[in-house]
Amino acid sequence: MAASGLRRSLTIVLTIKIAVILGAAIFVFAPSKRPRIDASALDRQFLDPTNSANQGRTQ
Amino acid sequence: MTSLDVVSLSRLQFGLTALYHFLFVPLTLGLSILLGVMESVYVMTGRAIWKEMTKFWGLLFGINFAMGVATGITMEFQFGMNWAYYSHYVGDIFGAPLAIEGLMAFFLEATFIGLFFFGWEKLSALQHLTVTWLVALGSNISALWILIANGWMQYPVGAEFNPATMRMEVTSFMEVLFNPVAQAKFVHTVSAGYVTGSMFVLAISAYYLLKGRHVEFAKRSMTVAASFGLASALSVVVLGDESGYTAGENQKMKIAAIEAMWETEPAPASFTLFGFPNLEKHTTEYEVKIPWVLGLIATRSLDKEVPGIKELVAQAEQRIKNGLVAYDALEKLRADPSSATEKARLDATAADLGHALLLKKIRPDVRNATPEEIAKAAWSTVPAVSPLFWSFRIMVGLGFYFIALFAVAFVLASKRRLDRYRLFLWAALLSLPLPWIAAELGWIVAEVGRQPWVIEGVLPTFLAVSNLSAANVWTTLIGFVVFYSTLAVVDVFLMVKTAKAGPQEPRTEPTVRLAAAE
Repeated sequence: MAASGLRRSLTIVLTIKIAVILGAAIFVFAPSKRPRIDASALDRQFLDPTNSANQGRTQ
Repeated sequence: MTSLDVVSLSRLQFGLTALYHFLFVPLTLGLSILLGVMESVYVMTGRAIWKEMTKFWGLLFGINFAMGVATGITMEFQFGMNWAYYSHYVGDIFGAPLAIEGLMAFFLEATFIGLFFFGWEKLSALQHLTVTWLVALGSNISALWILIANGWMQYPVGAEFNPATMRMEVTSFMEVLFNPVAQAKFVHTVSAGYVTGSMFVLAISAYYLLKGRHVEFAKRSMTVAASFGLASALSVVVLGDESGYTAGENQKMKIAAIEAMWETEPAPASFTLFGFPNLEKHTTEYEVKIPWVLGLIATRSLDKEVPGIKELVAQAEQRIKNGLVAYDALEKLRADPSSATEKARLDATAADLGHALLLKKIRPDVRNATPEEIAKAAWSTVPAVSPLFWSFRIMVGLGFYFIALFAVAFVLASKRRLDRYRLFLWAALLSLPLPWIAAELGWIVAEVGRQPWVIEGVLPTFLAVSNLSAANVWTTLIGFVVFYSTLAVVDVFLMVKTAKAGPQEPRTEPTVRLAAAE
């Protein structure tokens, strides 16, 4: 493959990859879309006497 | 759709993706070493056929490697997305070997695999050989770090629970690194990979001999595969025995379930070769036992008993009661972190905190658990007996079959008669899928045997799952099945096409460019 063809192919591939990663970062993994798991969340998961911790949840 | 809950769906998704990923890993481990051996012979002898062998098996290695990478990455995402509580609770320990694996091993193999494929005309023979061995080294170190992480899940050493952060934290990284369970699993797993790589080369070479094609190429390939395969098959069994011993020391319930051993086996403990576990009556019917063998496997002695499921359940019941003290202390410590009394109570019973958490599956307010509920939680420490019992026996049976097959191949290769026995060639060809079956069964034994724990004795699996809806998990699960099935079709198509096409006939290449390396 000629150098210019290779350069064009690399540019296309890298552009698509960066676009996919940025899209995922913004639309899927944005901080607002992530549940906050910290000591308080663990506290609720383990110690909250009203929390059934995922049991039997089929919905 | 079905009544599967979020926990079962998340387990199913991780199990499927892990088992699928491990279709590619053992072949990468085995073929990478075989490529190193073949290319070493080429560099030492300068005979072109060994270079063609390296290139041809390297092409199949490349197809497999790409699939292995693609399917491994999704599992790391699942830790954060499907197992968020797990990731927070033990990420401090579990995350370290995974990060090191990426930085040290994966970068190494990913960098040098490019040079392996595109460096034949750019590098000297010695430089290229170095590249090939670095790919093999990277693959195997990768397995080491992954199995250190997995070994910690089976035997969590070098860490302690911090009530302030509500997570496990490292106290000794060296203990995590030199965890005996992890080390035993590593050598057992890579040996299984070497058997898989050897069987792959043996079977495809047998196909060529049956067809009368590429005869010299196939005979040389089979000779390498037979020698390496025999050594590896012997190692798998010996190192599997070491894995059994470490489980006998640290995961007694797993051993009891594998054996479907309901009652404590007095010394010297017998091994159940065959039987039918009856889960309702808590017995194993029509048992065929071999005296002493279990004692030797699990305790390396003839004077120690091996505890049965019922005795271990009774011990678990006591640990749940102790764990409730830890649970109570933790609750009070969370309300008043300065309480030295509660800290002392927690420290004294923290090892059993995980057992108290088992009650959370039965009732949300665990401190009010009745004796019947505690007994029920104790019985939940018994993993699925029948799948373990049968998976283990089929895996071990296959292990001994591999020794026999490679031993025959080794003898025939030594006498230069590999192409004369068509029955053997058919046996070798038809044995192609067996190492994968054995490896997958091995993982079923390891991981189903760890249940109900995601971290043995520390964190029950059901508490580790993210707060997702079942619909969320169904969506990704179906997506994985569809996508991975498509990948499988592509992979098999490429592998079969490449294997059927066979190697290029060797060109005359009298000298090796060793001088360029000097």
